[in-house]
Amino acid sequence: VTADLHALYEAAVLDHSRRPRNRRAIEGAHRAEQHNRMCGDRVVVYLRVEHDVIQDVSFEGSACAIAIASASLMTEAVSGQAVARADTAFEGLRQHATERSRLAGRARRRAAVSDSGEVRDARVAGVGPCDRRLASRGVGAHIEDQG
Amino acid sequence: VGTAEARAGVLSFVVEGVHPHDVATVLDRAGVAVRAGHHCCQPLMARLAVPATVRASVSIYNTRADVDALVDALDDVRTIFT
Repeated sequence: VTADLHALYEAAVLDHSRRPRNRRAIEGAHRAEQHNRMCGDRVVVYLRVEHDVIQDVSFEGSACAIAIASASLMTEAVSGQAVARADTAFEGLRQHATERSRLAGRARRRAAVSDSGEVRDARVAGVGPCDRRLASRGVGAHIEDQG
Repeated sequence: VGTAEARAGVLSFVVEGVHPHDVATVLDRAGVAVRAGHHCCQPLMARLAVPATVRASVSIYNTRADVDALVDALDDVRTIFT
């Protein structure tokens, strides 16, 4: 097992993917479902809010270890928080994830395009499929930092 | 080319409790190229009640060492995820 695999599947990710927290449905709660047709991930999030405070949050679904761990960590991070605070956390997380992804993509494109603008590798100059996976790992780590 | 009904170098499989994309990531890092996903047949995935599968394809170009590498990497998968 190589070091970069350990980096990708760090302890928190493995722990939360093996034993996801709050993986259950909540009757009569807000419910949102997202299906990623690219990879087949399907996640449903349940949210019970009273007086602008998240009283209970949970999720169900099937996805890779990193996506499941992200959902699990997210439920722990926002449970008991004011909706406004969760919104702020989400916005920070979104910026963190998309900024990482954007910078990585820009660096790759720079490498693929010469100074004169000539495209050396059109395939690499496009958008890489790995970004999303790395970004979602960043998301998980970010939530953990906040928790 | 042949007349045998059940003969193919294509093997789709799942590792219990591990998402196929995670299996494929570990195999990839071990230098084993497989495909993971729906293989453009979501209705069949639904029928089989699996989120996706891993698919290894062997051909005349592959050696016994290639297959051994696949099996060793699958041991890594179990070590990491179970």
